Amino acid sequence: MESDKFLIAGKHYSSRLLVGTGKYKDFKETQTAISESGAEIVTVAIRRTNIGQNIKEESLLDFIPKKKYTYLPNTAGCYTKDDAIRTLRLARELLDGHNLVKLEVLGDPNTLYPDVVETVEAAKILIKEGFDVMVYTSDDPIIAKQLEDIGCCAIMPLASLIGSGMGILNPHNLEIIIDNAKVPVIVDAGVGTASDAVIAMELGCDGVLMNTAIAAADNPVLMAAAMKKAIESGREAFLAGRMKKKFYQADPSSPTSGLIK
Amino acid sequence: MSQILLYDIGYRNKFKFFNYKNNPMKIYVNGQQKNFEATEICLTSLIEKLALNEKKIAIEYNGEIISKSNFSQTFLKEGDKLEIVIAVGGG
Repeated sequence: MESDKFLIAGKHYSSRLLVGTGKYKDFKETQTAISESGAEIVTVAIRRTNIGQNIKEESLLDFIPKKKYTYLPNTAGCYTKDDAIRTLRLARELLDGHNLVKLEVLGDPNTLYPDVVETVEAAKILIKEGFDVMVYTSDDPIIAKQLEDIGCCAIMPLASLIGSGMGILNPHNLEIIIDNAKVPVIVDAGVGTASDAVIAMELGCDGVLMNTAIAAADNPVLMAAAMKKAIESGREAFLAGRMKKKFYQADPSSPTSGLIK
Repeated sequence: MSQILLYDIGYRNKFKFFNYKNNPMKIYVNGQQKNFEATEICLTSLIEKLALNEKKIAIEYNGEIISKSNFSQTFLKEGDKLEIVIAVGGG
């Protein structure tokens, strides 16, 4: 499977698993779980720094080195296009001119459902400013296509609500989005366990982005290892092409002749 | 720059007898009011005063991103609003 590389904004990646860095017990656990997941792209949030706190306070960047991972700054918590754009401009400055970003503009604090109208507007501006925009969106195929048409480098529909772990709720919409897209489609949000990740990959998704499924597992490091295998397994099954389903008609795998009498 | 004095509102209330020759300059850092008794303070000195010089940060100054190379040429004035951010864990 060495040749099955995954291309985002002109760069090849070997791992199709993208992971978040939130909700872990501590930075050490974050580091171990992410290393175990094999992920090469990791999301980070941009937040106000504490003022007047401990100078020697540990930083995420010390544990997840920028040299080893591709940082994907997000706009989590932004409810308007302006806040999302401001956040990503700061992120670009913070990460020394890094252009690859995850845009998400939320519409509601309870469901964290994306506001696709604000998302489209924000994406247009960010792309004009030279950002490579990976965009979190609903599983609406029309919006997904519009986001691709305006130049987003990856479309990231939800499988179910952020942090819900409810799995792939509408595989058919995801299939429509995948069939229509010429850029990578990455399921972002909703995966709860390894089988969900396998299903996403078997549907033909190019990758899966997850955070809570790993971080909120009883053993995050072990779940990270499980997710690595799930993504690889689902991808290989997709490429292999599954057998046709035969409803209510069995077909023996062993020869029907030569039975002892 | 050695005369620059940084203190917070809580501190000022505690020491009301403390007199200033001039009214202190008020600026807002991450939504918190900070007062400075100085006529000239640049972003580089602000970062040192806030003990952020060891951290990887980015600054938005009155809505504009200021690149690191321009920190020493950007001087604060009354009412300025700054956002100072870092990367944290997130999904």
